[in-house]
Amino acid sequence: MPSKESRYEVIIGIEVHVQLNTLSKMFCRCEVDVDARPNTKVCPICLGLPGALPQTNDTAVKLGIKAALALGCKVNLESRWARKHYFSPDLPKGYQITQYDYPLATGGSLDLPGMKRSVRIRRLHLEEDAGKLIHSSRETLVDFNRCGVPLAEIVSEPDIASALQADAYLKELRLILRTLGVSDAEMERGHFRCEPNISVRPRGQEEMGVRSEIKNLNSFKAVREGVERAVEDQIAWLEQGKEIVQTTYLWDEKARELRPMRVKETAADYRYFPEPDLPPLILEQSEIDEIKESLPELPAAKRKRLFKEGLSKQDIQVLSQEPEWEDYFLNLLEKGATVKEASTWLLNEARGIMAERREGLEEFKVPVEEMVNLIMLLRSGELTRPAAKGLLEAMAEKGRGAKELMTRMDLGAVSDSGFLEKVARKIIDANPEPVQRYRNGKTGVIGFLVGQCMKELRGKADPNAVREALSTLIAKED
Amino acid sequence: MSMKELPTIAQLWFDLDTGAAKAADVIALIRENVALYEKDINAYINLYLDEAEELARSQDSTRYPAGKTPDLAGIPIAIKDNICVKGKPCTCASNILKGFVAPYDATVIERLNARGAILVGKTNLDEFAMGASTETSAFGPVRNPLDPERVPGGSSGGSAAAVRYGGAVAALGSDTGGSVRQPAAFSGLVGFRPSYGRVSRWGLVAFASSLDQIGPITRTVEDAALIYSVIAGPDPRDSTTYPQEPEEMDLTGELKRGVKVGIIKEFFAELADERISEAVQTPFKEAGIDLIEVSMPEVRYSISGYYLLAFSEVSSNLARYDGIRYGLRVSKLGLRETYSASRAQGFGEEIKRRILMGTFGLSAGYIDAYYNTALRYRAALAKAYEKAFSQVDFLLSPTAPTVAYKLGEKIHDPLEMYLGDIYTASNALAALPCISIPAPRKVDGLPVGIQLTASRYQDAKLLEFAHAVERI
Repeated sequence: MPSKESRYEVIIGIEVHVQLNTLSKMFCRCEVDVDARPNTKVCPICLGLPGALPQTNDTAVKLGIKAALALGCKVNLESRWARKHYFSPDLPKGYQITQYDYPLATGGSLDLPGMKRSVRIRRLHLEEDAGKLIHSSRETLVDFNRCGVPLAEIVSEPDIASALQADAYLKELRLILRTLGVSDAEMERGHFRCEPNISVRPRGQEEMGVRSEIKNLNSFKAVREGVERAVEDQIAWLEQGKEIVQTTYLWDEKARELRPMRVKETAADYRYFPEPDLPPLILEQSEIDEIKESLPELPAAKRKRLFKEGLSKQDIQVLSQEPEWEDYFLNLLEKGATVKEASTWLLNEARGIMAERREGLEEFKVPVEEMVNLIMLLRSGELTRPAAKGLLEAMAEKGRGAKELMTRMDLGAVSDSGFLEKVARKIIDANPEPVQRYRNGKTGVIGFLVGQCMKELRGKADPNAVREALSTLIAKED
Repeated sequence: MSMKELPTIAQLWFDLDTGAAKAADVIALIRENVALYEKDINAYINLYLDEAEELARSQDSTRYPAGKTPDLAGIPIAIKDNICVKGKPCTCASNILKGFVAPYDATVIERLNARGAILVGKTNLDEFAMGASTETSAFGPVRNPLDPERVPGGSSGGSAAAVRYGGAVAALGSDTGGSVRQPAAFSGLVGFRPSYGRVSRWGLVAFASSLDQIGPITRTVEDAALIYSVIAGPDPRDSTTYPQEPEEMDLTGELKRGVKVGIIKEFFAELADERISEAVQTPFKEAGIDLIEVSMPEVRYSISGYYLLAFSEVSSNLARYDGIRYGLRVSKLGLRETYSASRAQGFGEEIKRRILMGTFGLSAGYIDAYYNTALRYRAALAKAYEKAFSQVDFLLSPTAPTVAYKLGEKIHDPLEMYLGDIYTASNALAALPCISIPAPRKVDGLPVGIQLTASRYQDAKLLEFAHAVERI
């Protein structure tokens, strides 16, 4: 009998609210600074004072277009603003300016990396954020600094079939937005708010299941756990023959629980209608083409290129999960390191050192420039590989430059052939037995002799050069 | 004592420029008129005569080179109290805005100030400009200076009454479906509604955003044109303004030969009062201008279309008055209860009626039948007007179906009140420039308004023609 899980099909669509990276708000010129002293970044427009009118922020529109193009959407030459009505103390006009039946862009898609799955994007539209309510035991205060901050809402089709895919979709989307500079997309700071809606139905059933929507997911972990929880709940209810009611839940991160927020019966009628204070948003095709031309290399293309250039799938995976690492990595390439060198020294050696030191990349004391210096010293033979390892450890410890530490620690490679010969002589003399075995054809034993020399040299020589010196000397004595 | 006649803007500007008059003396005349009439008429919600006098004195002591006096230097103007003036209360004649002081100037105020105009006071209006008689004001009704038993029209009734009794040389009103033109007609004044988009709405408290337009109420077309030329023009703060500067005007007063004036058949067919029809048409006939009959059956639905759209926008625009940030708050234990109590106490009956109907018209399941149908109607109406203007230069009609009626006569019958907008709603829906000027002949001793409408953005041509008609 197949497992419970495999008898059900999970269908997930996700809405993401992305805070656009602009200096000023969506419909006024107030500075975007959500953390400023409450109610200091406000004006008659974002406070909804009588007589104030909205003015569209062109930069926000451009960022929206960028994101839409990167997601393969069709950017509509005419889109429209609409008012969405509801009463809330953090919504000063009593309506939110958004886009409804004529969104900025429609019909894109996003490939989930390494999953052979594509998620269709239904639409991307622009809107303004609301203010923030600050609750205390005695009263509730409102901070309007966030009110009017530009958002793009990106809505997927229900093409996601698991919590894992939801996670991959969101990570890839976030990476694209960050690559474009469209948003900082910091989840904890509310720049990237995900609202998945989840339904489950027995496999083979035509009719869609009833949806659960989840809000307040502030980390990828929360997304995975919240979605998993919703799926489990729904399957359990179906198994028990319970009727599922369309419900919006809040994820309680501490309790790791879904708390019902509202059920469909009480859902508001938003009374959307065209915003009479703003004319339709009309774009020129040339404007859109220009933005398209200026798009940077997108993550998927970059991954393909790095793979071609020799980076392993695992390394690519690491980079795509962690934009800071990717940033560092690409910087190394830009400053002259090869893919192989960058992979070895950043993803292998440095990562190991950081793990040992229990540091993240933020705390890592070696800037890109110094890492490149180290790689270059190694490449030119001034530094041996083992010495380089020690040097990197010292750099991570002390935060000093590669050259300075190399000199101070006397880690420079011994390239003087006379000196190498001297050391080789000494080791040959001290180890007559292994030397004899080498002569008898057991050439593998040279590794032992090289090791002895390296020990003597404290690792500061090129092992190949040492091997060369040893074999030449032994051959001479034949 | 009797009313001190004030000069027109044009006369006063000339006299101030030549030094023949002093702005402070005009303020003194206004003071006398206010003392005499304001108590009965109730044209103003707030008067700023002391500040006005101070500003007038400083204007008087400023020496401009001859001919270089700014367009409106020293001209005392009254402002409808739904237009924001920095540092002054903006009440919209509603309790819900109790205590609200505007922290910024409307664009029209900035422009008037830049040309030296003097603010006399903020005038009374129907609450949030919703009404046609200025009886819905929370500050009490305005009476018509020509006959205090009668209404001054509305919603800019305070602006019209102030100019009528000599409380200001000119005034600004706002016109959504006739609110500048009809009170001008009831008061024997000129009321001009520019093309939608000609004058910035920045700082005008919204009633129905897609229809609201600020316009002057003056004693002559020339004065209306003067104010219009100062306040009109594109404004980045109002995205719905027309991007071009207004055209230069040539106010010669000459009737151009061959001008084609049309009358909409359906309008005159439904007019009950034959005398008003005659009062409106006679001057043209006497001047030898043939009136061309144009059929436009679309106008029959203009009242329904207008009110559906206007109410829908009202329900949205007035959502912000919730007692949270400014204005009246009636504190109750819960949030919903505070909202309800604040709005219940803050808004008057007419406002509530409109919010309820507008909310209904936008609701899921009804929006197609109401709001969306009205939108389609609006587009069809605009097309019909376009077609009419391919045959004629201007359209002529009365401004209102009646002369000024008595206080209390219609206020209890909202539908009857709405029908008074029959001639002023359709051209507003079509975003057209239109003007009301006094007909030479009165009816029952009360003024009748002649309304002229032109095609969109032909504001200058309309003012030139109206100026000529005024002189017939």
